[in-house]
Amino acid sequence: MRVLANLEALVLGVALIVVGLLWMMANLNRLDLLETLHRWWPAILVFWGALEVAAALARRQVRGGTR
Amino acid sequence: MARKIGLLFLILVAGGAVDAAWIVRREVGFNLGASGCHVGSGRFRGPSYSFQSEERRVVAAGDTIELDNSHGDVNVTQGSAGEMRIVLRKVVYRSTEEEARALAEQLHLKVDGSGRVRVTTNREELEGARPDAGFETHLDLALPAGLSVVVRNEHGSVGVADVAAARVDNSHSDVRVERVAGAAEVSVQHGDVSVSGVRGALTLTARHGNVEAFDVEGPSTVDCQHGDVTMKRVHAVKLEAQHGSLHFEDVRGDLEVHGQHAEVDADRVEGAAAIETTLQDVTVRHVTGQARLATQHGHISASDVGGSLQATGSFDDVTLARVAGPVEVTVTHGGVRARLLQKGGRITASGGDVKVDGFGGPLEVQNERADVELRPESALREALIARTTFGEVRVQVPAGSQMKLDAASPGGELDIDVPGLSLTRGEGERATGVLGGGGNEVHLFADHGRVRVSPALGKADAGNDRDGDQTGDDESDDDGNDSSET
Repeated sequence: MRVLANLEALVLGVALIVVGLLWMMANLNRLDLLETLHRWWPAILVFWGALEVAAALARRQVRGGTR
Repeated sequence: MARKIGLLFLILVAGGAVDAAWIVRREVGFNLGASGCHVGSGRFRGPSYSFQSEERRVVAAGDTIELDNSHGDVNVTQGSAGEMRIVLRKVVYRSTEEEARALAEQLHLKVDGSGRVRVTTNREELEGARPDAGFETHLDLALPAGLSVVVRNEHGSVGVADVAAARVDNSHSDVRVERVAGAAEVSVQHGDVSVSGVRGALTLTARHGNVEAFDVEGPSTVDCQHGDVTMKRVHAVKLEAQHGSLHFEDVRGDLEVHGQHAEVDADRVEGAAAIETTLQDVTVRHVTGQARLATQHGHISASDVGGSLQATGSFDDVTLARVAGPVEVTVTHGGVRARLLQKGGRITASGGDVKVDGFGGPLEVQNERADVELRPESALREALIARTTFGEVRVQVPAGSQMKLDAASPGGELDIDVPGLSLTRGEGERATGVLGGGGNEVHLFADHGRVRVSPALGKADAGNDRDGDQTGDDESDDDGNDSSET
């Protein structure tokens, strides 16, 4: 569980960095933020789904190890 | 699980909103031009092509040129006598050069009127007819000497030089005005301003940008918010500012500043300085006239003031050096450090020590919950009053002083040892005495503290620091005081 909590914090940190970078690049006229978000926002669902699968596998391993 | 479903719902709604905004922008017309050309932060982006046209018009000295533009830079310079030369540079945002050229051919200059000549383009008509078009119109004007200009622009920088008078209204870009024979009036939103060489009055309004003004011979009136202000070699200045740092050098007249959240620094003011601000420091040096300084939650520092000085502060100290006129200092939750107050004055403080190293003239000091330390510049011959509560009153008496002393320290103690002072002890830690024949009244009072009167050792330090402007803590003074105790 502690590993999962650390993973959540890691994901949140990375997400904040990514959002901040995107926003900054948009402010610097290096990026069209709306178009980028429009193109890539479903990737959030894919990434989240992958995390859920990884978490489920980790829990299964932990239960298997304690038996 | 409910939390995750809520988060999923939130992501889907946000994603849907992004999609909707993107479709709206694409379909309804935020997108100007082809191949991804659109407006971002007030600027066009995407592939572009540049074209140029030119027009000349006869104008006479004394004429006024009125110029309207948007989405492009405006540059006004001095040209040959008798005629005005206008160069229009058209930057058209289209995917191919043919499309851009076709659009550029429809875009042209409009010059109307005589005496008051209006210069503009037909860009508004073209924008109405072609909402999908994106283009910039950059105007370069070369004018004969002696003409006044009025420039109104948006989303483009403005430069004006060598004109009789200038008035500039701009937004979302910078403005530069140089060498104006008469008055200059500048108003800018979201951009920096640089003004120099104005021989008449300057009126300047700025929002969200920094201001620089140099060599202004007429009076300046400045209103600035959310930007720093730097003014050098200017005449009298009246300035209102919020949220910025204000710096003045060589003000040849009175300086009047009304600030909020604005730090103020002024050096060499040939006149009076009236400065008020909040939450920031006020520093003045070399003021020939009187100084009236006020801040809240900030430090006040003044040195080399030729006239009287009034300082009102709170939650920080007041530092003074070399003030020729009388001072009136009021500080709450802060102390006062002063050197060479030539005509004394009145100091009221609380919660911080008051230390005056070198003063002449009558002086009255009132403090609370802190010490008072006083050393006259020369023999004491004027009235002196010093009061405090829960602190010490320390006075050094130079040789040759005259005074009629009345000292009291209820709840504390008296420590008075001056050669030649005939002292009479009263009840309740009170003492009176006469030195040098008496005359001037000296009242020293410390409630729940101590009154200490001792001979002065050495002269007051003039406070000439390396940069010759500030006063501050001086260990040698503290050492001197310590040595006087022994």
